Amino acid sequence: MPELRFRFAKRGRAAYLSHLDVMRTFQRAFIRAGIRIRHSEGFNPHPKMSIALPLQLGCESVCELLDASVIDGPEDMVAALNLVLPEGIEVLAVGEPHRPVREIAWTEWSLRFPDVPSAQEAERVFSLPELSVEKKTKRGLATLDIAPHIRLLSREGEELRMLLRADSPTINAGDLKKALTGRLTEEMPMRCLRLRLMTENKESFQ
Amino acid sequence: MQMHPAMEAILPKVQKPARYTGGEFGEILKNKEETEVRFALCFPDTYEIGMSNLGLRILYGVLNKMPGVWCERVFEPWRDMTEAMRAAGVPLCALESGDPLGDFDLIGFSVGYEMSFVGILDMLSLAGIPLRSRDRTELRPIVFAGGSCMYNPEPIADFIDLAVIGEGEEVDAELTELYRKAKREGWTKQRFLRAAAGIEGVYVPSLYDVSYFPDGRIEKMTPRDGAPERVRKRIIQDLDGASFPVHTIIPSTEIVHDRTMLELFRGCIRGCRFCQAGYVYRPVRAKKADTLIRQGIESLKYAGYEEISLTSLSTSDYKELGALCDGLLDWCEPRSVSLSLPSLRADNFSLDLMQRVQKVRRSGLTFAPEAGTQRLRDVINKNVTEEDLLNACRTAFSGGWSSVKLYFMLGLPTETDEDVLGIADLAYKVYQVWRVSTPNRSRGVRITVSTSCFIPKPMTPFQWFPQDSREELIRKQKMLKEAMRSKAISYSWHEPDVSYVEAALAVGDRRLGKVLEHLYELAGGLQAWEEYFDYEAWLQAFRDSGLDPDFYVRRSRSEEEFLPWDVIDDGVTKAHLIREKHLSEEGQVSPDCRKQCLGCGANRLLKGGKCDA
Repeated sequence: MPELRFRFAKRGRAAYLSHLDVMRTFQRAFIRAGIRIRHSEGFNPHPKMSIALPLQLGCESVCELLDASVIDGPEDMVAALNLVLPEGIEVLAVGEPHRPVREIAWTEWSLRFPDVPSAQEAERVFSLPELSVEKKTKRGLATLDIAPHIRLLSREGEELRMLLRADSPTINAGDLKKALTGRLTEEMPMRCLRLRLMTENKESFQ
Repeated sequence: MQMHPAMEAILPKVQKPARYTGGEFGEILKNKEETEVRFALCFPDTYEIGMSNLGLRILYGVLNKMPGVWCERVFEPWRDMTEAMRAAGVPLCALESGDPLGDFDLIGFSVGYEMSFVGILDMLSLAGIPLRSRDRTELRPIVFAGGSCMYNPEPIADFIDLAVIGEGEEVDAELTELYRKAKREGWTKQRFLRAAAGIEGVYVPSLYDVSYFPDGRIEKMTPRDGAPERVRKRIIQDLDGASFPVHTIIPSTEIVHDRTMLELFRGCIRGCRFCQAGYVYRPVRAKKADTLIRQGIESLKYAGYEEISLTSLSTSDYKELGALCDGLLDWCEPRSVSLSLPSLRADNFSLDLMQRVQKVRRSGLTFAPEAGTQRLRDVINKNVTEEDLLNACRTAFSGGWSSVKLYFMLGLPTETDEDVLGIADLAYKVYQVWRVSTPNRSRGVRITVSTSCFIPKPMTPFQWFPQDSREELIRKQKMLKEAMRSKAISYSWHEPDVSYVEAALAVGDRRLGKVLEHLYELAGGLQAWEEYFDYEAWLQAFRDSGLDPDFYVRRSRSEEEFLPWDVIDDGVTKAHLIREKHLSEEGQVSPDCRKQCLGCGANRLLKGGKCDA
């Protein structure tokens, strides 16, 4: 069987599982579900699988992608996996990947604030022409203007919809939080849900 | 699950938040409305440690099988979480329902390490529950403790309403049933405790009056209201028939023992005189290899783990080890599941077995000679010779192993400098054995020597002995460090400060309640962790409570003295412990239980009175 791509959601309590936790969880869930994954050769073999664009701790998502090198498994892998995954992680679909993960250029987000005025505040900040945040790079901390790499799509009530650059540079929800910190009078909780992955032409990537 | 609303703001800011959310595969959720008794199974240390505890998993399974009973888990949060919760006014909650610990009927702590006593206070405090038993006047909640530290429950007698002595599978269920009845009939807490004291294996500290001699020794402990003179521990008669958690919780986040654990037998045939586990888990009761193979495979299938560990006090003493490993490996090998065998003995180590077992992934080898000279090994009844150890190492090295860990103890009764230096000699001899027996000298070898400090533990022949002074232990550690002659040998040691406090807590009495409460105010929980252990605070807590830790740690107890744990009966007679103590003083060994029964008395706990050594 070729490489397979599993699309899954990570919601609720599962939002607090780290990238490594999710990898470990799937590794075991595959075994429970009777799905065999090819292992790497060598002294310490590990299953060949990877998750695209690791989600930050505390964020939810309905568009996570896991690519795995499957040897064989039951007919209905989605159902088999969903029986054995922990609360909050749900496989939505499985199929052969049509395009490589590196073509993901944008991610679409829903950001929920406690009330409308907070969302309006955030909307104001995210519309600023320049938005410098401190970002960790390989060479240490650097300041980056994220304004060119984010797009504000809409605000409806307490919810903002945004596009964030997925690659060079990768902008994540944490950068948005940092952008708000210091520009708002008080700390504002923000629920982040990743809705969609997109190509450069803003087509859905699955 | 209804998480406290403030948690959403807290969780992203603390280290490893997945420890606090629950929701793992295998977690048991029930309907609150249909639950009569809510049981909080608490572990006074972190999630990673607690979830690695097989006993906790067994009890979780047993209690949740009871209709109308919902057993949930609660762990001690790390300090950053404790501070964030206090700041936000969030009480300590259970992982399954997210309900505050204060909403539970029965709050049971599993305590396996004396340094986690303070964790009990940390958790009760974070839940807003009064720390002292006498300040909790209602039937709800009943706070109790079980686990291996409850062979001397006295140091925490002020805080718990009762202690469960011995194996908890049956007695926890009986206690829960009694509570159900008490709740239905509206009993007072006092009435419940008096009735609970009638269950074999239940100790209710408040039903015992303690009187002291002017010098601080206990004169006697007198039971009241029909409480028994001594509380006898409970054991499971038939382990094959006992509940084993095949369908257990599989954490999504990493824990310490992140693998399937299979318990081969309880008890130990060896009788090392310092070892509490070797005495209190008697009599020996083994599970059948067939049962274990079935449970092991089922557990692995359910968990999806790629490793299974055979746990027992001395795994290589399991009679059917060959058949068990064959049976498991038949299933494991084709699936790349590895089998690990901790706690091997140097005198019955088999290369053939190790090679078969470690085909999938190879780990290091660990042996515990415990003492550096034959004389001292005889004193402690370790019954392993230098020849045994060197033979085992030779076999392992020639089979391709290139790393070995050696565990020793410093400060054992009668220890001299010669014994200490014997550790360095022995390590060097192991190194020389490697030089002549390794097929590939260019790969090098790693020999790790670790020493812990002797701690007198209740229910052992060494319970009467004092611990070496801190200065003496430090001197011995230095001397040993200087005596290590090869770069291939590395040496690590336990801090004597921790061992000193641990000793005081291990052999302490109920006057330590004051110390624990004061220490908690001074230094907080997580005292089993280097990051938060505060030696000066412990000394101050003792001082402010008018107690001298040396009274507990540095004093030789006479055989006639009434010891705080004399109200507990673990099945082994005091006469046997005294006999073993005398033999140790004469440097005489005792045979293991399989060679010859020494009449320790634990067999009386079995129906039919015949031990399965």
